[in-house]
Amino acid sequence: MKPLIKYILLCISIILLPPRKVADACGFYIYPGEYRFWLLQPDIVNEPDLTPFYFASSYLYKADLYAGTQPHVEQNINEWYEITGHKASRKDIDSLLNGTPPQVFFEEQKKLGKQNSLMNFLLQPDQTELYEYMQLSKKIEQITAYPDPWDEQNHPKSSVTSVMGELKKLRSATNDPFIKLRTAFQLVRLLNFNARSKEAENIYDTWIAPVKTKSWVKAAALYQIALSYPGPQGDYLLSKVFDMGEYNRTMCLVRFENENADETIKLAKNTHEKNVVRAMKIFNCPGRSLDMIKEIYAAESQYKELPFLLLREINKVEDWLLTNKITEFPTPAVYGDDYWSNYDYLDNAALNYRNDKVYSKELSGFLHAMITSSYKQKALLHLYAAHLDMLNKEYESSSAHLTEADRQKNLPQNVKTQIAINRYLLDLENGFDKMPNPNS
Amino acid sequence: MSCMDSFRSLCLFLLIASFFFSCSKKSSKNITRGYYFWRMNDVTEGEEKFLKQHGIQKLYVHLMDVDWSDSQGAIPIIDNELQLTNSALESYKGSPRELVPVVFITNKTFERIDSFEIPLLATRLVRRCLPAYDALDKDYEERHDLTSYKGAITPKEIQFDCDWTATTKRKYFNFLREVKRLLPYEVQLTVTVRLHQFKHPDKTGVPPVDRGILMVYNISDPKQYGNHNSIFESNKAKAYFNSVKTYPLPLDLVLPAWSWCIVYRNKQFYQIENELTEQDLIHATFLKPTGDHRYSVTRDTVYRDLFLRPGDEIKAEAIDEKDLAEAVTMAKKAINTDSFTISLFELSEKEFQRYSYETIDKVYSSLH
Repeated sequence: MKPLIKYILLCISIILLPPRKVADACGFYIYPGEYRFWLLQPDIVNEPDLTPFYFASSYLYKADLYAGTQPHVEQNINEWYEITGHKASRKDIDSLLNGTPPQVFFEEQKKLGKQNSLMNFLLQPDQTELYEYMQLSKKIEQITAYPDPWDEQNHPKSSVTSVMGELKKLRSATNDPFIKLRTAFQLVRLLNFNARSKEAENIYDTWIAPVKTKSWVKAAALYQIALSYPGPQGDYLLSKVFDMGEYNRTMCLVRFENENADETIKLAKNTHEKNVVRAMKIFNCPGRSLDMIKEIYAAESQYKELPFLLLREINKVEDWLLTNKITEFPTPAVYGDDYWSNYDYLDNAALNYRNDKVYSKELSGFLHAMITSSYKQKALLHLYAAHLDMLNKEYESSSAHLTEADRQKNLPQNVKTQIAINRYLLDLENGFDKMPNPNS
Repeated sequence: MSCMDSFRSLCLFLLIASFFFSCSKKSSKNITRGYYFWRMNDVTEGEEKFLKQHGIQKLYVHLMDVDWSDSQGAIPIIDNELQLTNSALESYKGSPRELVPVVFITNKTFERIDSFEIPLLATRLVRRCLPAYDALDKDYEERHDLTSYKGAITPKEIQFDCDWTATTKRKYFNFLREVKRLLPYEVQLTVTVRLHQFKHPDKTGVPPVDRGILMVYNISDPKQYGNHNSIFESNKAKAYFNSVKTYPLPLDLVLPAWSWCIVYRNKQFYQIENELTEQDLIHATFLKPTGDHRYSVTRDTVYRDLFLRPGDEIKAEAIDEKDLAEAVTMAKKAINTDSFTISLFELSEKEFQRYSYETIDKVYSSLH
């Protein structure tokens, strides 16, 4: 009876734990390799823009590069909200910027002026520069959506050159830093479309890089420059954008080439930059990464991505140790990935399992060492250690770490929930272990 | 009657007889049977069978639409490849027929385009219509794998469709002259001529092309709320054919054989639905018939990706056999050459199933 009850309860917990998207789905079939078993929820690190890099399920995230949130969209709305002196509502700003196709913007301005507070603001006689900028940005929206409408693959495009001329004119006429920064950014974009990447880089270096701003626009401009460089130089620039944290981090990771990483790291100018490159390499690695995590930790113990990297590593261990034990998939799901395509897991299953257990212990040892250090995010570390200890059947230690995690102040709700779930799972494990065997 | 009188009478008889004889010889017209294929996907087997049954020799194929973009000027909005249509026709082992690429250009394009941009637009469109026109075109065709369909198709005719006006005629005609200049001598350039352009050549001008094709439809604005049939109404069409002057450009004819449904919200135009028929409306439970082919929406409904609200009205417009016969009668008045093409718009199983074989056949044979 005992294994059966255990199995049923675990199944129930699996159904309860995956994200809601799974619960809503019906009638789908998951192929081996598309789904991983995990109980430690990746979203407790609060990096929703990197959702496609959760080590959870390719079915849910990996195939959908847009699954992550895009913080710059919200930031952009806020920046427009500020520039209008709060005279335009956030809803209307969002609607005009993100929900109004350029053709509608050009053809229905009068109507929009009556319906939309941002359009109304732009049509005021003292807002001619901002209005002109909006017109140009809508033109650029058209161009970037359809950069080569006749599919001629030749440069430069006269339409692009013409809009660039208008941007330069506006930039030199205005004193508004908001417009100056944005016109420079749009110029960088258009120069790239016109295959003039060197000129784009000059504009970035002279008009954007020196600007002290918290705007997402700076990261977005550097992202454009990064795209024009193939190989390690491009990856290095992507690592800088990734580190800025405001713009398109998922795509930075997607474009980052792991095989260039050793060359890319040579371009890094300091320890922190090297760690960012290492972190990007780890995000793109489905295999063991503890050694690189240790390198990062040794060089920069408070590196901001460490909690996520550690969590990914625990999720990997969960997949390796549990997927083939408690699901019908014969191998850990990750072996269905291209990364492992030539590897016959089943021939080496027992050995792999033993090695993975050893790795799990090693990871646990590293976490325990971190706990005793000055690392700040103690609640997460205790929770991680508790989770790994549970996987390693060290229930007393797991319980103690959960208690420590729970004692930390100002815990976010998702961390509290994970602690509660782990406590429940631990009680299940402990409870059933203590239950008398009716057959004995 | 004297001998002389008899001779005179005989001469007169012979003269009149020879006149009638020559007239009747002239009235034997050389008619090419055509059809318009406007949909942007493959011809079906049923459609190919229909073309074969009616001996359709020429298929006008919707190649692309060109519209104006405020940032990029004249751009293609949707486009097709002649080779794909040909490949579908060949897959049904259809009889070989001439394919004519048709490019629709919005009048707005000629309202906005600068004169100096016209030669580039002409070159771009000739490239799309003719195979291997220049290096850029060869590269495009290779990238799009167009050479693999038993080789590219070289049309004998290319056609432009634009509702030009007196204001845009100068730029449109310059564009046509430029296209003509770029085309090889043996490729004919034709354009559509709408009824208002046919009636007022003094205002809208006569396009500098080889032939025009008169569209005997689009009688009124479908966006206007009312009981009219915007596709064709003979009493309204008559007004366009009362001129005694012959249109100064050889004309082909295209007659209406299609239907659509028009959605109005608060008596304002909302959307045209080409795929909907009145039969669909009759069977829809969320609609209440209000007469004159009109239906009122009774509840919130999402129907074929259309979000309909109570009070919305849907008007079904179609051309029945009687309308078609009247259009033919009227179209006869526009014929100004002995050799011309008569076409129907548009090729679709949904549309031609509404007409008997005889009706369609009569359209082509009655203009001899």
